[in-house]
Amino acid sequence: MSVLIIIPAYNEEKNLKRVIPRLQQVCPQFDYVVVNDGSMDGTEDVCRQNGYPCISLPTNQGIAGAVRTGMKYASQKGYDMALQFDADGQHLPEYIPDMVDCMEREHCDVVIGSRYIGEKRPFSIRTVGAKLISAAIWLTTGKHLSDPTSGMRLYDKRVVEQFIRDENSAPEPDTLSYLFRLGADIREVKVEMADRVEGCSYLTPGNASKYMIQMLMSICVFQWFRDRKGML
Amino acid sequence: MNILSWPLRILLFLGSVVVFTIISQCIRKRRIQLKDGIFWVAFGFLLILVSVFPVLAIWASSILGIQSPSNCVFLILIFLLGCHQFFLTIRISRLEIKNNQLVQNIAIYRKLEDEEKHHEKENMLLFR
Repeated sequence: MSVLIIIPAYNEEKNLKRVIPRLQQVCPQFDYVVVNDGSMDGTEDVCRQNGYPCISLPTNQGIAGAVRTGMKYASQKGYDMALQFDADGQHLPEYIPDMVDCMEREHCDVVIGSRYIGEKRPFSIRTVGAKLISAAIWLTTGKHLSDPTSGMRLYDKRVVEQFIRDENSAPEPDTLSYLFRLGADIREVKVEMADRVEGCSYLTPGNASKYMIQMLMSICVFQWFRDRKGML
Repeated sequence: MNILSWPLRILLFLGSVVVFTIISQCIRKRRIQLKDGIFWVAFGFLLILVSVFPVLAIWASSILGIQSPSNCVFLILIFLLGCHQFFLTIRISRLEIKNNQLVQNIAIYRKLEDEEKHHEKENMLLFR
């Protein structure tokens, strides 16, 4: 089964030079593509000079648009699975084969790389947010996810097509809860994550609270109105 | 008080004059599409109507059971603007979706084109 690793990158020229060689070295069996999300720095030049396969968006789309672009490409090229992988070095390629194995073995629809499966979450504002989202998903769908905010997720073909069809399916926790409602099988696999070395996180306090409100509203309120016919 | 005060009538009239000047400027300079100007022309026309014939506001307020005609005028204006904003939200959302799809497809076609060129080059080298 073929896997495409989608690496959305916004102003990540420094990180890419570290992350891609490591990915090539650890997982040479998988194809990958960098989706340059209208970066202002030399992200595109870094890809061209080093021969990294790269899709360059003419304007900034945000993470959801960048991942969707990668998925459209994966669908056109006929890949069986698509993996979302951060360009900032937080995600470790060592765990990709585990996730792919899990999907091939269990024939599930989504595999999440979870930091917290089988262990207690360390206490921080970030984990409190993740816990709230977990609770919202549990309350509305009855399913338990230990790490719904993890950005390292593997999607099968069916879910990739769902993302392309439905503009409201962004690679975020609310889509996981929507997929649960559509009857998708979502599994978690234990992974470790590294700390960010270069650049700065998108999750500033202002953005984080906006994100939380959006996710909780979407999971608890909007999910009830969303059309489930013809999806997945 | 069952009348529309003079200052409010003058204010409404001046408001409509401002709306008409701005909208006619925009249309002349082709800054908005004609179909988008319709709402504002109608809006300005309504302001003039109410300021010239306050009896309309008094009549509407008695029907709706609102004590002061000025409150009735405000309510109607807020309602109209609210509707307009709601439809604007829908339009912006649709526009954003279309724009996103366009940008994404352009990027993918470029990538596929690059790949094809690359293939052609390889084939040329093979046949040489």
